[in-house]
Amino acid sequence: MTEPPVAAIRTRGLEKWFGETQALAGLDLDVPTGSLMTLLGPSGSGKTTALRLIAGFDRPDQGTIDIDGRTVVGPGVFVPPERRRVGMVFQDYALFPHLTVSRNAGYGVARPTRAARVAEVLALVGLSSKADRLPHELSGGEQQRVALARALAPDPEVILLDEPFSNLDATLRAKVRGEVAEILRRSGTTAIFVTHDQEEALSLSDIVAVMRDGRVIQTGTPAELYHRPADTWVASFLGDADFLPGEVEDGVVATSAGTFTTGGHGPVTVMIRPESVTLLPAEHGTGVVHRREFFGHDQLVTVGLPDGSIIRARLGPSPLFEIGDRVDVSVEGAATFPQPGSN
Amino acid sequence: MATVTPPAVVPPPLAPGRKRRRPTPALWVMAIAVTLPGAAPIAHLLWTVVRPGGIDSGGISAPRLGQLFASTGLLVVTVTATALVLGTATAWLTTRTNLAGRGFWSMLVSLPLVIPSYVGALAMLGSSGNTGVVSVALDAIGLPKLGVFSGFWAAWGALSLWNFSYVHLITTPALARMDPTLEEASRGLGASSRRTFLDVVLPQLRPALLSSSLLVGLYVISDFGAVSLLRYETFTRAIYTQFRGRLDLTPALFLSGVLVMAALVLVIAEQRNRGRASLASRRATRPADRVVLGGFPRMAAYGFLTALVIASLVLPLITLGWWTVQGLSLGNVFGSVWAEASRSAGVALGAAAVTAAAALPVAILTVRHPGRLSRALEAISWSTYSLPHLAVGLGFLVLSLRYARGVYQTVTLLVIAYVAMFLPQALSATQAGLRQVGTNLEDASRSLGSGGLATLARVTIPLVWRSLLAGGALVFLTVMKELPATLMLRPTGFETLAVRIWSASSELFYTQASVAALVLVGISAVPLYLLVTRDLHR
Repeated sequence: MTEPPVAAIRTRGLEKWFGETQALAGLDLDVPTGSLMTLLGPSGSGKTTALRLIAGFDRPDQGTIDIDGRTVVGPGVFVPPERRRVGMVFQDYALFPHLTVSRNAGYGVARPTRAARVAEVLALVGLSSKADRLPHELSGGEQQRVALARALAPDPEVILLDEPFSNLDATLRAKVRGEVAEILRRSGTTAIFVTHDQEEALSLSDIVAVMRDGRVIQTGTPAELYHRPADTWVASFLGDADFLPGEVEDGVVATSAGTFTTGGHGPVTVMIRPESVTLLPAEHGTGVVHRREFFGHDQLVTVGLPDGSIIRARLGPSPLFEIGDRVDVSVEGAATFPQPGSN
Repeated sequence: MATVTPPAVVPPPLAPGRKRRRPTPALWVMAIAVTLPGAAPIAHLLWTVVRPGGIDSGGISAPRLGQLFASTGLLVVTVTATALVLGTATAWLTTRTNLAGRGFWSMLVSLPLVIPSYVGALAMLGSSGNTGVVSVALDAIGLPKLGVFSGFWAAWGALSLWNFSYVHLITTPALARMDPTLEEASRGLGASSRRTFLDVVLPQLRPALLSSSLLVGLYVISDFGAVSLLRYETFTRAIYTQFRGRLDLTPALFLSGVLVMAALVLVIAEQRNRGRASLASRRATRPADRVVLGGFPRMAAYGFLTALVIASLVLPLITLGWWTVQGLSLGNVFGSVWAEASRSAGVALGAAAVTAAAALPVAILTVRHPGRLSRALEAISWSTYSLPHLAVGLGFLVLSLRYARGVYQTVTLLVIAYVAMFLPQALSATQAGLRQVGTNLEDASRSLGSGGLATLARVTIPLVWRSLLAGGALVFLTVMKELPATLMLRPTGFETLAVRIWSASSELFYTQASVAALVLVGISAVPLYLLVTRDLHR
């Protein structure tokens, strides 16, 4: 068996308390070199704290951090932020208001190579023409790219981005998000994003680490997480999901919405995503349409099942279902979890 | 370079309780080093009063002490009450009525602040008595001359006239920001306008009135120049008399210790109260309707404002000008005034620069690393600022005599004392500037490879530079006007404008005193006017 490649960032057992509150409760994280990883979690889950510890702005109470194989935090070791080679893009961009775009971008680069490197990164983010502007003369999206250029310029081991798109309005956000991901991939830098927005996490990253209560609950590719979440909480956090009870017998689980093949045995919970549900109008169908929300590009139809449970279906805009219609329900793929207390 | 404006995006506040990196020991050492010199003289004075093994009062008897408490207390209470009435009246008239030229009147009643109370006292002396301006004018129209202003009533008048503007400045924003819907609610519930004022308006003004009372009270208890020139015996005058009259400093030290203890009560109350005024008043969504004054009330209001401006601003300036012209016509040469002015400006400039520099580490510590110790440092430096400067000066003098003969009667000691006394002025300006520089900017700099000191030089200082300058300017103005500590600590023959005004007035050389006073007022008027109007119209 071959040694796994050195992770760009590796944390073990990170703990951090703020007074009485525990922000991190033993954080273990491995970020492969060259990947874009997202720390996804609700507010208060400790993601920003994790970022600040990695950057060196705060000290953990417990645990170790390695960057590119070098221990920067550990027993008796604390490397200050200026010697970690970690770039940071702040939520508010934190551009130096008294410096021009090019002096912002060149802030972390030594003089001999500064001019050339500034030209390079400004070209990378497409802001060469605005080199002499002051930050307040730029739009939000441009400020964002200057912040990125500034963080990239010293050629850091890793770039940390703290909710980098939350200050942009919705229309701009999707566009800037794509641009930033593209720039990071081209520069080949390892990056960690922090966000509470699951859509952002899934669309942007190679790997997502879902955090809750100061811990990583699950790590995986966006598709893995979406289709095989570790528990019902992760399942709901990543997108719409309905849960039906079921009983496994001989690798098959039967629910009121149909039967699925699965592992395990005994009582389980079956997760069904609305987009894997199909409805067929049928005079004697098992389901009854309770509610319909029409969004234009699709519709979300809520169906009552014979046992009283509810399931939602995300369907194309036609045929349009009406409340009271009887339908046949079929489900393409589902994930199962052992029911709490039955393991 | 183009104007620097803060970034459009407001940085998110740190989560409550989030502690930042620990400050470097060097920061602590610097902050303590600039704060402790201010604590030393106060500690020494208190020690002389409470030291074990019996108090050495230096022959000051208990009845004498009682007398001083009574006379000082009477002045504090009467002046504070008068200033509150005058300042609240001017604030109300210039914010909540339909008088014409409210902004202009507001500025006029703020301007007396450019006249230090000892200069005001000089003007009172120069207008009364046999040769005074007002006396001469009265005589010309066949009326009896004014007697020389002196004693309680004179001191009460002087301190009220040259302190009420503080009340005006503190109360005006509170009145302007008061939410008028509360008053409308009260009227809607059937209350009369009188009851609305007493039950709704006044309680909302209480924080502002409390802060201004404490402020004025502290000024009165600390005042030395005006009470001395007007011959009203208070603690400060008694201390100075003891200090000048005897070789033994014990009685002066004892009185100073007692004064500091009494003043500490006000200082602690003031520190507890500070900041509450702004929290208590809600921000108005729209300006209040103005009370329409017409007929007699309107005339009375104009009459009141006019009389106040004449007494506190016009008459003193006319008096000083008149004596200056008299001196010129008698062929007096005022050459020395320029030497004194440049000496004043020089030492004030030096003190301002050192104070601004000293404020930076304390500001960083208190803003970036709030905690018990940094709060204590801040409280100490505010105490030195607020306590009577005559006593603080005496403390410095005695300490230098005992432990540092090398700096006794040197400009160095004078500057050290100025820095200790006026640090809070530079400190609050710098703190305000620092709060506007988000910690993210400093973090960003660190993560880009700049260490703590490099970050300070490349990011923090360039961004708080203006605040440092503003704080320094304020210190400059205050040092220019400072009298009691300067009298105590100056090297022999080191004549500044303030010292010249004081000594010439005491010796009744009104022409010399008036020239120096006009120069002093002229130098401080422009920046003070800018500071005052900026604060009012914010």
